[in-house]
Amino acid sequence: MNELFALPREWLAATGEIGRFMGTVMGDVWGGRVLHFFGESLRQAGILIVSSTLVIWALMFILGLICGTEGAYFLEANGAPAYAGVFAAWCDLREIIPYAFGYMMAAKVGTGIVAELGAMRISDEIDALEVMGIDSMTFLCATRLLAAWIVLPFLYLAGMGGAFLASYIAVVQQVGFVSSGGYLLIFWEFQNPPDFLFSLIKAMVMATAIVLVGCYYGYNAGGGPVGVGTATAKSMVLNLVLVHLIGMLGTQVFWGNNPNAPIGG
Amino acid sequence: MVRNVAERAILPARNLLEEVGDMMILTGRTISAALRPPYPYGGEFVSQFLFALRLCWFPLLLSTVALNYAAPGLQAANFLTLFGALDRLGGIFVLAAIREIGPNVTAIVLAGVAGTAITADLGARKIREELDALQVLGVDPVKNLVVPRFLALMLVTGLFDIYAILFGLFGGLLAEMVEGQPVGPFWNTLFANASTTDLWGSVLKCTIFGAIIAIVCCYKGMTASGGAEGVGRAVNQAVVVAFLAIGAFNYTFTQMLLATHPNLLVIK
Amino acid sequence: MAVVKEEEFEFHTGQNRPAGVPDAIQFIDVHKTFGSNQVLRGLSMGLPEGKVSMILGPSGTGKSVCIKHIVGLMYPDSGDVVVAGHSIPSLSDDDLFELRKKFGVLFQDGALFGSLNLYDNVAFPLRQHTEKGEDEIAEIVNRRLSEVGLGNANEKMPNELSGGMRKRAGFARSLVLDPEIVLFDEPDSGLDPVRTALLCELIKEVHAENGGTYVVITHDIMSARRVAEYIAVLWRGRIVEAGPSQELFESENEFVRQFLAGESSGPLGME
Ligand SMILES: Nc1ncnc2c1ncn2[C@@H]1O[C@H](COP(=O)(O)OP(=O)(O)OP(=O)(O)O)[C@@H](O)[C@H]1O
Ligand SMILES: [Mg+2]
Repeated sequence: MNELFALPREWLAATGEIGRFMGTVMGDVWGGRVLHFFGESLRQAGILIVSSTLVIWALMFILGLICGTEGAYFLEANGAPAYAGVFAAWCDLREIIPYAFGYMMAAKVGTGIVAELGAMRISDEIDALEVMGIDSMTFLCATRLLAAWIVLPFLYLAGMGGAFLASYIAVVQQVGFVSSGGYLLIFWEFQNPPDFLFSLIKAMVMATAIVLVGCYYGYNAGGGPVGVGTATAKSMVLNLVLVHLIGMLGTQVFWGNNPNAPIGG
Repeated sequence: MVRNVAERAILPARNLLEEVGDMMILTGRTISAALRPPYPYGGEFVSQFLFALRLCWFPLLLSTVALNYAAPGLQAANFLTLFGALDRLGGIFVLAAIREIGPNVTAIVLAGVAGTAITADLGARKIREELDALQVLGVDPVKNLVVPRFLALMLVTGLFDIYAILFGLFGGLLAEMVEGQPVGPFWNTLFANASTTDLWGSVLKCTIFGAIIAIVCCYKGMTASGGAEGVGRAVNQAVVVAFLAIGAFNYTFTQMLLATHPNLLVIK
Repeated sequence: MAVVKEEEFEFHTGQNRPAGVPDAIQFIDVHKTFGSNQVLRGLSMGLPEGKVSMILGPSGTGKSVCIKHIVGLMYPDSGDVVVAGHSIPSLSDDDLFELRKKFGVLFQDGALFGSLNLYDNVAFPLRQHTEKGEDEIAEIVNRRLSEVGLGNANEKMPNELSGGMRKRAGFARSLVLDPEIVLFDEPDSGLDPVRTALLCELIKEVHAENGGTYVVITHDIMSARRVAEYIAVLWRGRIVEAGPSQELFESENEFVRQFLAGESSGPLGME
């Protein structure tokens, strides 16, 4: 019984420490200390673009297909196939694609950071930075956060475009209950700029949490290569839960009880 | 620079294909090792099963309630309000909680929690050369390590699917109550639309997800390389590959299920 | 506080023979415990300014821990560490970073940055802390790398190097800023005997050229004979004896004699 609650207890115990860590790193970025290492931030941004963009887009695209397929069949069954566009629009923009983004961010970027920083920690590289008079937390963590903030909005919006395309393919080309024009009319009718902004905010809050959790587990890794592996696995657990909680809170705050749609509600 | 980009973007893709091949081979070897006597993996199977249960129940609980409350709950309520058909929310939950979100979230959480733990564990044994030592002692790592994890993860993901569906429906009820709706129609449309095909389809899908996760994560763990970054890298790659595989398989399966069982689509 | 059993310290005279110059680094009754593992147990020692000092001691006595205390990566549980007149535990973070710019440190495993090649590793401190142009940096880096015999391995990544090569590259990196205080954690382990001898020569040369306080940790008595001007022998978390190297090599202390002669019989066993 005791072991069943080991995980929640561990999280409770670590909340304060993780919170302080996140506060320090965000402070470094807001306060501009990170600008000492602007070159390193750009380098990290480059690495992020080159090594993570494609996989993140891939998962967003696949889930876009699924939103389209399920939406097309569901509305056909409800006798309103023309409205597949609403389903797809909301499924993509408001809910599922932000999750897809969060999942792949956690998997690719979050655990990647843990593996990398953890390896630096156990081979004394972080200590080496410190004794060279470099604030390692700013140099390693704040630069990664800044890089994420620079790159991810564009990456996310482009990936959203891909997901829209995927839904279109699924609804119009593949299932085909509705014409292209009819689908697109409804699809665009039911979203507006605030929706895009809300969706982007949701995704960026997820990304921020993921990068910070990754940095926390990597920066504080110990216990040799094995310890780094364990820390990587643990970061994934926390990140998954955070992604879901942030998704839920975002929906509640932005769209709870407010359809935000062009016809009465 | 160009070479650098090519190395980062294209080489991994080629390696990925090679690895998919290797994973297929591992799947074959796992199944044949599971079936051929002797069967020494009972104890390991039970402990892996309990291990996954202990590790996953809490993250999965939070995840499904949160996701179902927000996405098919609040958001679909908005959607149905547009049509003045909020009492149909139960119907949407058949699609959402049972057919898609239940199995997918279970798979994502199992891969992220149990899968990563398996990779970290096997990776640690790999770099401590325990796996080599096993082989020298004449013990087959596939039979003794992969098979029990493979079976345990299939069973556990299948069972967790039902758990996730139950808590997903709870999330939906929560949303219904927040919207100020009576819960009666929710149950009515839910049971009117849910079919046993939906349920077994969901559980079957999820069980196969479990198999995919087990193979990917065992493979990545057993091929971890030495060095400080080795095990961490292995975990990193394991989740990425597992997520992509889950997504791709899900798409195929949904297509197949909906195309071969058109009666699923009729709203009653 | 730690329970001290006096018989464990029967050879610890703690005698400190004066070196004739003021101390650049001082440990004052430092205690440090990890869990139940008491590593430093009342360590008091001074390392003289402008000389090459060596800390000798059996494996696992806390020599690396000492170095981490000097650079402020670890703080003592009690006691004080004074470096160049500053008490390390009471420095603010910003002052500590300033002070660290005067340090050069070679970590036990080199601690090269895995994501950078050799050249960039050595150039890293110059790029971060100086305004030097790339040409000047190239000149310094190439000189340092060829000094340690890595002149044509510029492009190699750390994981393509042998342990000894990593160590030599870390050595080059620790010296690029011409630091005032240089700390080497076992610069000679994992090197072949000839390279060890050459490295010792190099340490002496660099020291003669730049001056500064050097602290070298080693297990190798030959190295100690070659370069040490001052020796501190550490065991069970305290100083056994310390003093100018000539005097220590002639010490009467049984433990010091055993350790410096590398004999198997004496106070130190396998434990
Ligand atoms: N961060 C730490 N956490 C816990 N224990 C530590 C830590 N650092 C060092 N120790 C312990 O302190 C003791 C001394 O370690 P240290 O690395 O200083 O030994 P050493 O004298 O440098 O040995 P060697 O000559 O083998 O390098 C060891 O028992 C080690 O386990
Ligand atoms: Mg040491």
